[in-house]
Amino acid sequence: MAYVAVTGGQEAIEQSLRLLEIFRNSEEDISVKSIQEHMSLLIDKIMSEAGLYSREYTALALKQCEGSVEEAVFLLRAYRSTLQRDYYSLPVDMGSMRLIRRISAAFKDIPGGQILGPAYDYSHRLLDFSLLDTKNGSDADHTAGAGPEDPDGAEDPDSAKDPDSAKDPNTAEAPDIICSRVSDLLRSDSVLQGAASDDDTPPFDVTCNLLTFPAPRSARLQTFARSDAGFLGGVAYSSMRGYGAVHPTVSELRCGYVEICVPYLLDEKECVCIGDILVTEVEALVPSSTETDEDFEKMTLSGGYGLIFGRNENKAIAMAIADASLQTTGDTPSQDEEFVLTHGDCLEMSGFISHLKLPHYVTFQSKLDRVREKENTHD
Amino acid sequence: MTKKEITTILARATKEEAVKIAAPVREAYPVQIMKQPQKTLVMVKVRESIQRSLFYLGEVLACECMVMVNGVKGSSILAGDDFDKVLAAAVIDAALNGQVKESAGILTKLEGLRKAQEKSRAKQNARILKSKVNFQVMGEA
Repeated sequence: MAYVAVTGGQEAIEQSLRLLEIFRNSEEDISVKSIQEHMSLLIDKIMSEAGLYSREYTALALKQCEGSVEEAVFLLRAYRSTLQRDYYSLPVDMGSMRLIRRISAAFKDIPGGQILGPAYDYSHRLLDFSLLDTKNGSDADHTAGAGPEDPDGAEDPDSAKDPDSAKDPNTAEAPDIICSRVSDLLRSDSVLQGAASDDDTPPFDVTCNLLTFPAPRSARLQTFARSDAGFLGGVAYSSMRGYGAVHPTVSELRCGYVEICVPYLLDEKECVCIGDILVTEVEALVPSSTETDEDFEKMTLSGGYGLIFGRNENKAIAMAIADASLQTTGDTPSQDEEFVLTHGDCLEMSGFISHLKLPHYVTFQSKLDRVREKENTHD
Repeated sequence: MTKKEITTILARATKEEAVKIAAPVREAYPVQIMKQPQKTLVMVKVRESIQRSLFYLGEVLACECMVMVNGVKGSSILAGDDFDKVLAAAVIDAALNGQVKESAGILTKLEGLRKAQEKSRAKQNARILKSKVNFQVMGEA
């Protein structure tokens, strides 16, 4: 059926847009910098779903759209489409990540040790009512300037209590934390399956090309990295609960900064660093199916991979599970490549659902006519 | 110092720090702007560690600029949208490419900045390492 356009309503639409501004107004303004510093996990989620790393513009988008994730993603994707992509980075080596957190659920003792870093895993989920009293005051004082891009701006509130650092809390120093991967050990023991050498096949770019199936691995991973966190979490959860074959062990979850380098414009033999970005990486270990004794004898370990902009741990784990799940065969949703790769884009899904709010007068009238006609026929 | 080392220091510097290092060059020589500071996108290519294949993670908002100082070109690209900073970085690049007499002073300042950045990170690293954990399995000696 062809679409039929509707016209009119210009004044009402203009007033609707004015109302948005009225509803957004507040007695207490919130700065973009404040959003950037205090809502960093939300910003990370939106950056990953927008596929655009810019903390400041993400905070701006959040302010503009009253905190709506899907609207913020829409704004950023729209803005991104106005810019030219002139550069492709050199392949980033995640092994050289400057770590702020690194844990393994597979091994207790790993070279370099497990570092909890900033995490809610072991926190009591109790509302902290003392934060209600914070008004540009006490609590904000010791975190001012803190944030993923400026971690040095925050002083350690514990340093004053720590007897070791009480003498001079600012003297404790340590080198950058860079550790080899846990999976390197498994690979050296020939326990983990995987490629023996680098695969330099140029990646597929889902932002420029129409996705076809079966999709190359690069398209799968790029699509997952941009996927809606909720959708990807649902896919992974379904796989673990029985609608799939993957219930992995997290070999390593690491969060930290990596340098982004591009070839130097005036001499391509050299490279320049454009800055550091914060990412979360997950390697998940998946044993092969062991339904029979023969399977058990031949059990192997394979892996799933997750990498997401920012501190985005559950999404990175979900990505690793979704990646591993698509390497298995079966009839469950998480094993259906087309289903998983075509229904998880935040902008596409919210856009398609949102379009139902727009006038469908002619199409609905047509359906209504059919129902009435059927009723008349019965009479 | 290599281009990568210099640009890493500048990428981690504040606008004020970059502008201050470029200031003597801007005072001593006319700066011809070959490409105005402008926003661009950098697609991040990564190598995943399971199959060791490449994929695109997403784009980083960046800005770029090209200048000529004393007849020698310099260019810069930095994450973010700070035009003043990227212009200063391009001036520094051109000055170092042309080995103007201010080059030695620039390199000294960059080295000082690098040490300050390392010191700042070292404090943060120490705080992170305080969360290093040693889990004990119950029943194990």
